Amino acid sequence: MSTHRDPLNPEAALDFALERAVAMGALYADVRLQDRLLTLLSLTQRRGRGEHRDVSRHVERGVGVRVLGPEGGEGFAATSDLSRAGLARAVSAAMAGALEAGGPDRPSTVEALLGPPVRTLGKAVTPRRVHPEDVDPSAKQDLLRLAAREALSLPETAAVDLAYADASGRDLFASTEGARVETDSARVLVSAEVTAARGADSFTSAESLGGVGGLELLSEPAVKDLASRLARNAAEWLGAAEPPGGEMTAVLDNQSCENFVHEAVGHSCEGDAVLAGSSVMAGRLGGKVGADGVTVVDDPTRPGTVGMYPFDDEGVPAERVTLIEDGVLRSYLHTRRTAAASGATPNGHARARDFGHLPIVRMGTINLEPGDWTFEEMLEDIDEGIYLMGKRGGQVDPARGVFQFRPDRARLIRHGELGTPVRAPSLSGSILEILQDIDAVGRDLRFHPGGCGKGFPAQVIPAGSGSPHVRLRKATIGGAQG
Amino acid sequence: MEDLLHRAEQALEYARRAGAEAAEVFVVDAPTDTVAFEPEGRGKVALRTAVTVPQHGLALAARWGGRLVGFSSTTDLSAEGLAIAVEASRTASVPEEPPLPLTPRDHEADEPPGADRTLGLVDPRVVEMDLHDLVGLGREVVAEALEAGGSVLSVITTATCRRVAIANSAGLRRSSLETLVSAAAYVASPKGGLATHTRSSRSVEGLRRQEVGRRAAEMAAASEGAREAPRGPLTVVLQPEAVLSLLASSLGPALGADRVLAGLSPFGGTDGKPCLGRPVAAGILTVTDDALLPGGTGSHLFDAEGTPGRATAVIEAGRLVSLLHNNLTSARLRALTAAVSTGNASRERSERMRTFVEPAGEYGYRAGVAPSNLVVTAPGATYPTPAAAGVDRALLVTEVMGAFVIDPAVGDFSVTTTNAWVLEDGHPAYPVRRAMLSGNVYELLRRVVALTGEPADVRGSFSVVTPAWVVDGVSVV
Repeated sequence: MSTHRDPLNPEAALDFALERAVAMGALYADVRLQDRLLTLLSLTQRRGRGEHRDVSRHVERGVGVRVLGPEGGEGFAATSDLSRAGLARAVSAAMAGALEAGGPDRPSTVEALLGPPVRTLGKAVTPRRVHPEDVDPSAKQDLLRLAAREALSLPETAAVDLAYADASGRDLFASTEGARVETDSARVLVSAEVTAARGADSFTSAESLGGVGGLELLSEPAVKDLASRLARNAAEWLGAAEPPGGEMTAVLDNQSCENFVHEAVGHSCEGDAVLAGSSVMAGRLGGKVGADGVTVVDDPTRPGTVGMYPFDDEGVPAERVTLIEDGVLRSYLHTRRTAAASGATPNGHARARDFGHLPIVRMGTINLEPGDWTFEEMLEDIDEGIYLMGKRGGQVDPARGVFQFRPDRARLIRHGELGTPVRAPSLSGSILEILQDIDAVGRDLRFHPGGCGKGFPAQVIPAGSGSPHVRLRKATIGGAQG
Repeated sequence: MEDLLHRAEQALEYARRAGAEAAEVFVVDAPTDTVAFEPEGRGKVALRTAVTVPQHGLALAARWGGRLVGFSSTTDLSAEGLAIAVEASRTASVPEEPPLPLTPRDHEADEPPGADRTLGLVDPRVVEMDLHDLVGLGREVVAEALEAGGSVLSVITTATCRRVAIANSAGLRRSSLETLVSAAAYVASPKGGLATHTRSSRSVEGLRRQEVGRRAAEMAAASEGAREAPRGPLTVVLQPEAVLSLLASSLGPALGADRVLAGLSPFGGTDGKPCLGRPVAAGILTVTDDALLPGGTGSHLFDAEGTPGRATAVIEAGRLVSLLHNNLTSARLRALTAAVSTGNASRERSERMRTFVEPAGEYGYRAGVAPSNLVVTAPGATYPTPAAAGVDRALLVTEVMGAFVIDPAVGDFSVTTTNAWVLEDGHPAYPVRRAMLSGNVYELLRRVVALTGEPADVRGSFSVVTPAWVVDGVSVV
């Protein structure tokens, strides 16, 4: 436990840590300094029981140090103690890790380990009109109250569970290669769950809103509309039957499909999994992995999405990457290390949860590119199928090539028409099979915020995703309760 | 430790000077060393990286006049950082009822009986362990996996020393040290079988690391040649890891009185009162939350508010007999049920990802309620093998994916198996490909017909100590 006395100013802290690493024999070092403020609010209201509110503020300030040792090993350590002594301890801990991970068989030049030098010099301010720190927490609370009132205006609504979060501040990056990058960013999010109840029956519908930007992304009409839509969903799905199970044709709405794309395509195209032989996409570059018309990109520069960033956590400018083009696997997502090891170019997808974690390969904002089908055209030749709507989360095992995700709710499809609502089943499948089973891609590309957990220790980060509607000719639906 | 308590007291003093009427401070310093091995071509496995991740921060809850309570946290423990946290708590305050109930100073409980020695929460080897030692542990796991004929996809070993200090304005002062080590192996067999195995323990000895790589390799080999899974309602044998996955997002959170009070648990009535005495599981099942389980990976001497840990029976012979409480929930329910804190205050991150913009460490969360070790037992001192338990044809499931999206208020699940085998005459007959299990966890609790095999301590956001569950009539798609 450190004493945290006499912290250095940010620029001096970066310089001190880099100089220290070089003096200890590091081949390469980079330092990330983060100084962020978080505001979190929640509001839970159950009809007839009053409201419960929480507000909290959080200071997240610290430095993460990564070094490459003389025998090519990589080490990382972090500290929130910005004094010379605290920074020196972090550099020593990172160096100890690098020495452990090194060895005579390892490449021992920075170029062999990380590829060509990255000497980015830049300063970016992410776009926003209303900075969240300029708005009093009570006004943010009012936004949640507005949503609660709107949802509770429907008589079926029994409960509303709302959360608001903003994070803003500076992230500085500097390396021994001469890179120096500063990002001033702000991100705002609202997450809403609305539960309708009748007797012992209940149904909850959930969705999130927000992205990189200011409070203009959470306008009163947008938040009100979200609450109203979820309340209507929850009321309509009250009494919904259990879904059928087994193999069937499925149409996925924008959010369901973006969840699928994130889990099935995004994670299996991450360079670290590919490099370790832990992805079914390994060794398939240039090969056909999906149906014609399936094009997937990851674009962290897409404005407003929650996964937007100008530079990644290795100082590499963020880049739009085409992963799959018309069914052909074109690229993977890379950090500098995975790019160097696989003869590729880094594409700006190294992300860390915060200063306390090592950057690893992550998505920014992934999406399936639109096709030319309308929703009605997708439905018209389905005799029996299911329409999956919204998203509640998913999971993937890239090595096995298996994924699963759960939508928010579903409807049966009968004879080309939408039928009765059913509760949400999960969809599970083999990544390579199901990408071939996409036989229709819609025109209506939309983006939504989401989160993603990966790594050990787990790093949860905001990740955007988008998709039009799609149709899967054969999907395994986990349905009826036992 | 002294320094942690000093920081906590310093923050209390800053809060008092700023006008707080009462305050509680939680400080944690829990750096985790992690080393990861990955294949490096030509059958070689190499150490890829060694990292030290800090978990270092302070949480402050303070009462700012009347019923206003504010919560803040900081990773910056400098004088400036503490001052910002105090001000943030004041500006974030909202009315709360009752306002900030605190664990009282209790001289008898200041030094919990037995301390570290009897509970086995600290292994001096882990305290003294450096990265080099941890790399050595990892190499042993790799060697065992290779010797058992597997190809290593990844091996990860971790070691954590968690130091905590708690101080409140009622005079409570607590500090503790716990250790935890873990090893995880992901292994492929020559003909494409895949399996993972993970173990956690308070001690290096208890990790039984030699078994981790070997078990993963053996399971991978036994998964070769998988066939289609049988469909329909089947008897399923859920191994402890699969039980944990299902309970982590259902029974575990639902037992928390905070969820009952919020109407987000099936164990509450419409009046917010818990349904104690109601049958909620098969009559053979007894579930105890035991924070004092020696060596338990979820054990603690005191909880995140400083209340001493204890054993609380939550389900006895299938009936709900108690909820789990922290100070706030026990105060809120005291009038209705004479509740007291069961020592289950926890600052572990919520099981739900809400806004994806959240503090990284437990210092960033107000004390909620969570189990420590959920110990599942049935009558009898030992549990028979599936064959001896009379299990004829069943699906043996070691682990499932997709359980984290279960809504604890409802319990519906639809999960995918990773490694599973068909049992015939109680013995594994052949492995099966991915299958989906669906149903409702609370209904599944009622359909447990037997417990089988050795109990295992498996850890997620809390720990479950259980034998495998034999469950009738699970829908397999």
